[in-house]
Amino acid sequence: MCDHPADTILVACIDGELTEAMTIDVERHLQECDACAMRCSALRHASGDVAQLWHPAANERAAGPAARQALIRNMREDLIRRSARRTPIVLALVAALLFLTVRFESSLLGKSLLVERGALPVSSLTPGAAEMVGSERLCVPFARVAPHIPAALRQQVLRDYGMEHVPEDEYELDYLITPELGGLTDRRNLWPEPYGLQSWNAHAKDALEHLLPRLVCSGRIDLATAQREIAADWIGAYKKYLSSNRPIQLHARLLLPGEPGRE
Amino acid sequence: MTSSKLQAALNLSASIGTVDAPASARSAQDDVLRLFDACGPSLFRYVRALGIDAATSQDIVQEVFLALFHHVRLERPRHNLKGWLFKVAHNMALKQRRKLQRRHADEISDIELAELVIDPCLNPEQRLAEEQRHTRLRSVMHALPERDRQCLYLRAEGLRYREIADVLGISLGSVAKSVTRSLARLGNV
Repeated sequence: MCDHPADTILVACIDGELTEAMTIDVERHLQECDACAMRCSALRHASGDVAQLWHPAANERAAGPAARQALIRNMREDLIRRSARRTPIVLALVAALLFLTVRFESSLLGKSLLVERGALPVSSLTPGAAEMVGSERLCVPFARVAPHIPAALRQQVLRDYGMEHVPEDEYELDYLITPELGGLTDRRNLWPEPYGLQSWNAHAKDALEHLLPRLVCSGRIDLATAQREIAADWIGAYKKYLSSNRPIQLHARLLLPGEPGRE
Repeated sequence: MTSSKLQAALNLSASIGTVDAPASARSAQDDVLRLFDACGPSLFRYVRALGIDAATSQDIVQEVFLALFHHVRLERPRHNLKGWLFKVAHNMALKQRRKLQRRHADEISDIELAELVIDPCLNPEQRLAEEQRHTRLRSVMHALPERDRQCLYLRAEGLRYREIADVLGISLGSVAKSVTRSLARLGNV
């Protein structure tokens, strides 16, 4: 090192803050330069003075047994405090979780719990219309296939519901009381049921319409009851007779006791 | 603190309070106590040097180690915990000092420096000279700008320049210049 090291370098050397290579350079210079060696010695001496001034002998109280004991007590109290503070937070989290679970349930499964708009007809427009049919006509396979709906009647119903301009592939003109239960092809018994419904849709209603005639034919319920219940609230009837609060995703063929195929 | 005292303190800890700390908390507590033994006096001295009275300094040291307890329990980074302790102590002490200054400016105490230990082998003249030099040293120390003093104190507590820079929020170069300036002034005494 040709130049004399600055005081900053000397102090950094004393404090061990220089790199190894620089330290070697500085020490080599100090061996050759008396002035710098003296300067370094003075700085080192000052550093020793600071250490002597700075380290009072009697500061044990800061970390003595009493202070240590106090710290242990403080840590324990801190644990208790934090745990007590956490309890309401945990309760709030549980409540929020429950809320979200219910929301999730109702949004995922329960498209069931929330009846979508259009799943039920407007009762004033479609109260249902049916005739009483004897079992000899009702309980014969394929005896009552849904008749064709005349175009004029279709337009009339669509006008009633303000859906005359809605594309045909977006809805089905459905019978409220199915012809299999004596439902009539009548303005009062038809309504446009949207296909877009995700839960209580035509497929769910088909399952009910499949079940009710068999219940009637097996004598479990009478025809009038079946007609009334499907007309008043087909979703309620579904829940009642299919024992499910939400539409069954896969409507397997429901077999009643005594029917062929049921063991 | 000797190992027997440490054991006694740990035994004592088991009898304090009614809540049994879980294993993780016990482990954190042990770690904190080890650091308390190692750094407690240093922190206390440093807080005192910032002009805080002894009782409040003890409270601040307790708060710092409680903060460390929380820090360790949350499994936050553990590298350079000594620097972390000084930084937290520095901030807490300054906050406390601002509070005191707002209320009673005269409550800010001066630093406590050690009394000179004079070599008994010195003759009376040498003793007198040494006492006078010591008085001058104390005066110079008191007259240093506060930032320079803080650098000096932290250095005296064994912190590296980088750690001092981190505690005080200044650059490495500023630390080096500050320490050099202070030692140069003290070296002229």
